[in-house]
Amino acid sequence: MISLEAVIDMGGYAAFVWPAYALAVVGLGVLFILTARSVKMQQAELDRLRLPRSGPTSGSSGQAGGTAGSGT
Amino acid sequence: MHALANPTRFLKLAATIQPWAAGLCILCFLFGLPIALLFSPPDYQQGDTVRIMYIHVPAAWMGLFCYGVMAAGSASYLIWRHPVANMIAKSSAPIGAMFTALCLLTGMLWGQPMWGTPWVWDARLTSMLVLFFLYLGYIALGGAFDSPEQGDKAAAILALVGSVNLPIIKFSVDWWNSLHQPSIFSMAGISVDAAMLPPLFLMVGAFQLYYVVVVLMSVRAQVLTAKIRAAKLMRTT
Repeated sequence: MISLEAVIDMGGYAAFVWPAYALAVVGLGVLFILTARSVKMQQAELDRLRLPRSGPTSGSSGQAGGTAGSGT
Repeated sequence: MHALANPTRFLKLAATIQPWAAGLCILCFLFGLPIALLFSPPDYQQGDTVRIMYIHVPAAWMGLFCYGVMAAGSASYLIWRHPVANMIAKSSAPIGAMFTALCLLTGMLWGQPMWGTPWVWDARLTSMLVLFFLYLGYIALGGAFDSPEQGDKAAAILALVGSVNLPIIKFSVDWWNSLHQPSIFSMAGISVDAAMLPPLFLMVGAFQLYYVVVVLMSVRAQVLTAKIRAAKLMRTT
């Protein structure tokens, strides 16, 4: 049976083992969140650009969205 | 290969792969972490500090792997103008930089209790630090030009030139005297206890699948950026 104290203590090396795992969680977590957020922000920006603009230029902006949407 | 040069087609494939990779990644972490932290045996010499290995070794492997992908993607971009290969190369850079930094930092946390020092300027540690700087250089150079194409080209050349560092890192522990232990996988066999292999492989798998998930997400962001640029250009004309 593994005791909780032994796990936390890590044979006296808790100050080295736990920070290593914490760094991994922070590193992987932060990069994941930043990447997911950039996808979301870019998608929102593209949706905003593709919205037909009000006023006399609305026709050309609709065309712009269509062209960009066909894939580059 | 060439069929996937079309970003829209690539993203369709990515959308199929991504949920599977994410699910498998979570599974690898769910099994790997408890075995690494609780159920694997402590080392007979290094005690519980050996558990740092389950982060350190997969992170080091990923640092090299991401650079390999970056160099291959850059070569495909320079030779065949493969746009998706370039996007994969660019997406691999921050992931590789993060894993290399993680490898260096966990190595310091392991070195302090085992070597009595967090850092020595020996071949393995220094070449790994150079790898980290190569990643930063690649990212900085890519954004340093007014024209994105020029930046991509310059960064791709840097990635190819820097790939000479990969064999140096790999063989540094054989070519020079080092405090760092030699590779646990060699022609002579595997030099760690069999009980340490399952958590090691599970963590390597988890990091590898994490890479797949994040790189595909990042390629999607880059395709969107290209579409935004095109949409803005159309608006101004």
